[in-house]
Amino acid sequence: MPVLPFEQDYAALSPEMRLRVDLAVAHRWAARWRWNEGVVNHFTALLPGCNNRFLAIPYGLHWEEVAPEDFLVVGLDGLVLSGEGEIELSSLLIHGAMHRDLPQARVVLHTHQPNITALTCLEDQTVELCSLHALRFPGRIACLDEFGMATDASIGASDGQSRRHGLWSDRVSGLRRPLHARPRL
Amino acid sequence: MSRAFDDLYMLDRACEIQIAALATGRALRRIPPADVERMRAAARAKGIEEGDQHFRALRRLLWNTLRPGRVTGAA
Repeated sequence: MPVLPFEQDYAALSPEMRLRVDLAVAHRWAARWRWNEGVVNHFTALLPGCNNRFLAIPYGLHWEEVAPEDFLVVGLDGLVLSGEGEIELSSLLIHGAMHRDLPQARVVLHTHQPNITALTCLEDQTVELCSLHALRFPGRIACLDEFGMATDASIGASDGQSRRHGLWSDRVSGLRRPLHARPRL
Repeated sequence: MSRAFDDLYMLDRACEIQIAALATGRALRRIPPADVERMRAAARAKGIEEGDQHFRALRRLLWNTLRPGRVTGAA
C-alpha cells in the first residue's frame, strides 16, 4: 500500500511525538475492544533513545479519550517530569520495574483482555496449538505463579501472563522467560 | 508498538477461538508437533509483517482524531 499524505505528516513528527501518537492509538483501540479495566491497566513506552523515562497515561483519564499530548513523562522512580496529572500506583510499580529491568522492551502493554484472562482462571492455562493464531506464540508466553495486587514492588519485573492479574506484552520476541518464571526483585 | 500490540490482538483471537472450541465440549484437534515446527518461524515472520500493517491501518483510522495540532489545524 502506498504511503498516504498523512503518513508523511506522521513521519515528519519527532520520534517522541510519533511514539505519543502510537501510544494513543493503542489505548483508543484497546478501549474499543474492551481490553481495559475502567481507568486502569496501562500501556507505557520508554522514550526514544532513553532508558530511564517513560510515557504513561495520567491517572483517571479514560483510554478512549487520551490524546498524544496527554501522556506524562515519568522517571523510573515515579517522579512526573512533564505533563498534567499523576501516575497510578500499580502503573508505576509494574511498568517502572519492567522498564528499569528490561530496557530492551520499549513498550509494556498491560491488559485484562477477557478472552485471555479467562484462561488465567483455569488450572490448565495452556494456549493450545489448535489454530493458526496460536502458532505465533510457541515459546513466547511466560506465566507467573503468584497472584497479587500490584500494590507493592514484588509484582514488578516479570513479563508474561500473570495468573489472574493480567497480560503484558513487549516488542522483543526473544525476551520471554520460560513458563512459570518467577519475579526477580 | 505495532508488534507488541498486534501480538496482544492475535493472542486474544487465539484464546477466543480456543474458548469457543472448548465450549462445544468436544475434543480439541491440535496441530501436529511436526507441523508446528515447520510453520512457527513463518507464522512469526508473517505476524511481524501483518502487525506493522495492522497498526498502520489502526493509526490511519484515528489520524483525524489524534494528529498533533488538530485543534489549531497545524501540523
